[in-house]
Amino acid sequence: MVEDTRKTSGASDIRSLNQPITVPVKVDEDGSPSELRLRGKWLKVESVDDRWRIDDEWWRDEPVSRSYFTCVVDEGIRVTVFQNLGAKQWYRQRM
Amino acid sequence: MHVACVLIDHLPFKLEVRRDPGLRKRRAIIVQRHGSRRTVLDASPSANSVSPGMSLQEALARCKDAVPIEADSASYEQEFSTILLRLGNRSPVVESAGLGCAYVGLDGLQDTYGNEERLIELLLQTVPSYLEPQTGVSEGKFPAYLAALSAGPGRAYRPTQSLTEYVAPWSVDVLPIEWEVKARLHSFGLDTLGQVAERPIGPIQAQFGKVGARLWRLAHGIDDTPLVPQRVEEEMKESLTFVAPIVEVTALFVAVDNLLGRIFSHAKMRGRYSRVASLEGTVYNKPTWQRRVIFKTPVGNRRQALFVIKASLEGLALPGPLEDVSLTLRELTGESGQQESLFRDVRQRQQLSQAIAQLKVSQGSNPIYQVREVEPWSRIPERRVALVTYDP
Repeated sequence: MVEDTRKTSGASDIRSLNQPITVPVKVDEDGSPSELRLRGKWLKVESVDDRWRIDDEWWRDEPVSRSYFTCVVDEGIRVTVFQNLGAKQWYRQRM
Repeated sequence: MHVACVLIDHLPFKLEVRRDPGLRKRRAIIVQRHGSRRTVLDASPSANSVSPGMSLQEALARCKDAVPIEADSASYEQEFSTILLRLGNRSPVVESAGLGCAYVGLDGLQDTYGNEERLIELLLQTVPSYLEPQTGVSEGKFPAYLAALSAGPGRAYRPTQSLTEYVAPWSVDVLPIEWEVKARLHSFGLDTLGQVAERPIGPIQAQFGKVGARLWRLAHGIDDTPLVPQRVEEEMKESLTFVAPIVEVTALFVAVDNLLGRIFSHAKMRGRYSRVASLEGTVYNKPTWQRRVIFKTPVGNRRQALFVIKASLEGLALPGPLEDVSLTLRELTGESGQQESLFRDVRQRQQLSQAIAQLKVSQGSNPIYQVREVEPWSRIPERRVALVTYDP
């Protein structure tokens, strides 16, 4: 990271980072991911190392309600995915 | 001090007549802009009631059939600068006293030119004959100026009587003082320099202060203000004419790059830096276009100069089709023009800053971002950090 210049930034100078991207996911009977489609191919989820839920910004019309899973897929790659519990859409979270 | 005054009356008007000889038969008012105000710069000799500084409205009211012409001040200054340079070839002491009036020191030049008459003749020859210069020779600037007013077009005059006698009949309006002071002199019944000279200096100085002492001495033909010679400024100039007039500023950039290449490849520019760049161009049917670019730090190469000039002209709309362009680099400095910081990290930051500034010009905005923590405590991962433009 570059040293903080302490300069005030304008609103137009800010861009978001680590925005989640949609990802096709197959789930098993208890709702955990069993396969993820990454780089154009389906990868089997070998294990789910962690799971958690966040519920935030309740004051919005669409509050943030997500169920997170840290999955280990082929060759030991760790991928964090979440399901938007409102729209039921799966996303890959970039950290 | 022995001084010659070279006076070119109605210089702007005479230059406009040269462009359009038909103006000789009409009455014209040369108008300059000061913000939203339009005032008279010069007028035809026949437009007696119009004087410089008057508003255009008043001038047209006094001279209804006069044609207003927009002043091409850059062109007038350029022409007069050329004359000053030529006068400088005859005498080392040349002072400009405004457009159309120059004072030339004559002391010590008789041996060089044989006699004073020969020198005066050469001074008159430095000015193109169509400008009808008048030259006056006397001791001191003010008497020389009055002598120039007495001289006919293309001629020289030297007062033969004493200076006090010579200046006496002149109106106080010829004095180089504020018009309010002149108005007050008239209100006291002091209409001529002779009337002012008759008074003792005490009351004049008591009434007008420091200016009073000066105008009393001028009324006696005494002017010992020194001649301040022109500073000869070294500059490098190149110009080119477009095959077809250009209207886009991008084409102008190409031309500027070409001109910078020519200037910096010149042997005289080796190891030299410039602080100011002046651009001038002839616009079809309009006054000369001018732009002055001041470099924050002196530039010593083509790339750096082009970068700054482009940044300065970005978004510029040309006033019309540009037929030619000239680029002059001024205020040339010596061999070393840049001092860098002793500290490495400061130097790096300066280099980074310059690189980003260049990218801004080429990309239109700053493409360099840095990751900054925004809400590091947020449970929503994408809210924790953001990309912010990096500006050192």
